[in-house]
Amino acid sequence: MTTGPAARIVDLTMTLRYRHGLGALSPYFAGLEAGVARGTRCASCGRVWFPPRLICTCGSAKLGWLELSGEGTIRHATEGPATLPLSGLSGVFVFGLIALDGASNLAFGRIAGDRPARAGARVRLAAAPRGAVHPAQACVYRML
Amino acid sequence: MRPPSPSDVLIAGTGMVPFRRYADGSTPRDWVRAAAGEAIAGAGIEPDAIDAVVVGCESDHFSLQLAPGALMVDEIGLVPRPVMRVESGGGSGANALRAGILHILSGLYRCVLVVGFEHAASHLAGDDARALYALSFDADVDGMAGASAAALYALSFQDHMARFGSTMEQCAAVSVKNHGNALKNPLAHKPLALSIADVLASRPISTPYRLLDCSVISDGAAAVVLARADFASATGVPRVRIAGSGCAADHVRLGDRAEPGRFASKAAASRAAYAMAGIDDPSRAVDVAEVYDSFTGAELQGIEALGLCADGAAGPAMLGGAFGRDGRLPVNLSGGLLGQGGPPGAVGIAQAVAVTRLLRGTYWEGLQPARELRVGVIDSHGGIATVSIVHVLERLS
Repeated sequence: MTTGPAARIVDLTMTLRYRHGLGALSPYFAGLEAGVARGTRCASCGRVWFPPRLICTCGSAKLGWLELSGEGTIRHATEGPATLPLSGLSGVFVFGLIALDGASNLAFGRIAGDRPARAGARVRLAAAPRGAVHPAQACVYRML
Repeated sequence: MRPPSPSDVLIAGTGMVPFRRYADGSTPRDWVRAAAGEAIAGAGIEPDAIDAVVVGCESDHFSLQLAPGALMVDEIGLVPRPVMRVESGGGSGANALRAGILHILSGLYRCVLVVGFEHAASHLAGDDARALYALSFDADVDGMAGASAAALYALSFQDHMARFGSTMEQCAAVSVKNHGNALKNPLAHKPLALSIADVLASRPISTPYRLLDCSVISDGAAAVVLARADFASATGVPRVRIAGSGCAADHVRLGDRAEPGRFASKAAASRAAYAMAGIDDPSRAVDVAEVYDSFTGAELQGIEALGLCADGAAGPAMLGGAFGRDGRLPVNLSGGLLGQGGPPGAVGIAQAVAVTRLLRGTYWEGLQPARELRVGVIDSHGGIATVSIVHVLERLS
C-alpha cells in the first residue's frame, strides 16, 4: 500500500475492565454456578428452553422458570485447541450441542471426560473443576 | 437483457485495495481513500456528485476507532455529506450495500458511496482478535463458555453431514477451488495451489474442520458508487443494476434452531431478493455467485440455502466441478473468503465489485468465464448465518 513517506508503526496495549450485568438471565447463570440446569417453560405452547428463552419462538412472553435433571445426550461434538475467554485457560477442548432431557432446544457447552465425546453419548451438567471468570464457564458436561 | 429504467439502482463504480495482512504501517484511512477514489473515478463522476455515504465496519476494537463513519467521510473529502455506519458482523459490508440501496430507493438521494473496511488481521494480536470474534455470537451464554467461530461452524456442519451425508472430501473440493481461483486474482490474500489430500492433511482446528477449511482474517477496504440510472454517467461499460435485495435473521444460538445445519436466514433473505428480481428458479436464472465461505462447509450450506441446488446436493455437485469456472454455476471466482480474504466490513462490498466486473466481462484473465453472464448473486452473513444479506445483480443491455 502506498502511503507516501514511510509509515510508522507503534505498539499499543489497552486493558478494559467491565462491571457486567447478567439481567433477566441471572437465574440461569446462578444455576450453572450451582451445577443446576435452570431453564424456562412456555405456558402457551409447552416448549422447554435450556438455555432459557424469555420470549418463546411461538411468540409468547408467558414463560416460567423450572429445573431440569441436568442429564442429556450429545447431538454433535467438536474437538480442537482453544482458549477460554478472559480466563486464559488453554488446551484441547471438546464442545458440543447437547439435548438436555426435557428441553426442546440444544445447549452449547464444554464436554469433559476420558472417553471420546460422540453423538448419542450421555452427559450430566456438573460444576467445573476450576474457578470461573464468568458463570458460563462454571460448568461442564461430564460423560456418564 | 432489458435496457435500464430511470429508477434502476446501478452499480456505477467499483474499487478495492488488495486484501492482505498489511504490515507496512498503512491504515484503514489509506485503504478507504484508495478504494473510494477508485470507485468514484470508475463511475465517471466528480466527488461532488455523491449525495450520501454509507460505511461498513464490524468492530471498533479491531481498528481502535469508534465512530468510523464520521472519520471516513472526512478522510474521503466528502464533508458535509450525510453518513451512516452499518454493522452486521461478517455481513457488515453487505448490509452497508443494502443500506446504500435503500438510501436511493427512498427517493432522498440519487448517488451514494458505499465503502467498507476492516483492520482485522494485522492490528490486534491473533488471540485477542479471536477472543473478540467469540463475542459475535450470544456472548454471555455461548461465547463466554468457549464458543468460537470454528467450533460453532463445525457443529453446524456436523448437523448437515448427519442429515445429508456430506463429506470432508466435498469440503476439501471447496478449498481447492477457492484457493485456486485466488491464484489468478491479484487482490487475493491467500492464493494456493492445493489438492484435496493437502486439505485433508492440514492441521485440525475444530473437528471436522482443518486449517485449510478455514478462511483467513484479512485487512482491506472495498467501495461501490450506487446511482439512479437517470443520474449515472455513461462510462462505456455495460451497466449493472441491483435487481434484488433481501435480509433476514435467525436465532442467534444454534441450539435454538430447528435445523442447526440449515442456513434458514439465508434462504429467507434470498427468497426476498429473488422475488424483488422476478426470479422464480434461481438454479436456472443465476449465472455466477459469490457465496460467504467463512468455512468450506458454509459454502455448501450457503449454495443450498440460496436455492442454487437442492438440499444435500451441493457437496456431490462440488466434487463434480459444477461450481468451478467452467462449471454449471461458477461460485467464488474471486477466491471467496478462503482465497481472496475476509475483512468483515468489506467482504460484501468486494463481492459486489467482483460480480459487477464479471457481469461486465472485465474480470481477471483466467477467471472471466468465456460465456456471457447476465445474473449474479452475492451473499454474506454475520454469525453462523444469523443475519444474512443477499443481493441479485443483473447486467442491462
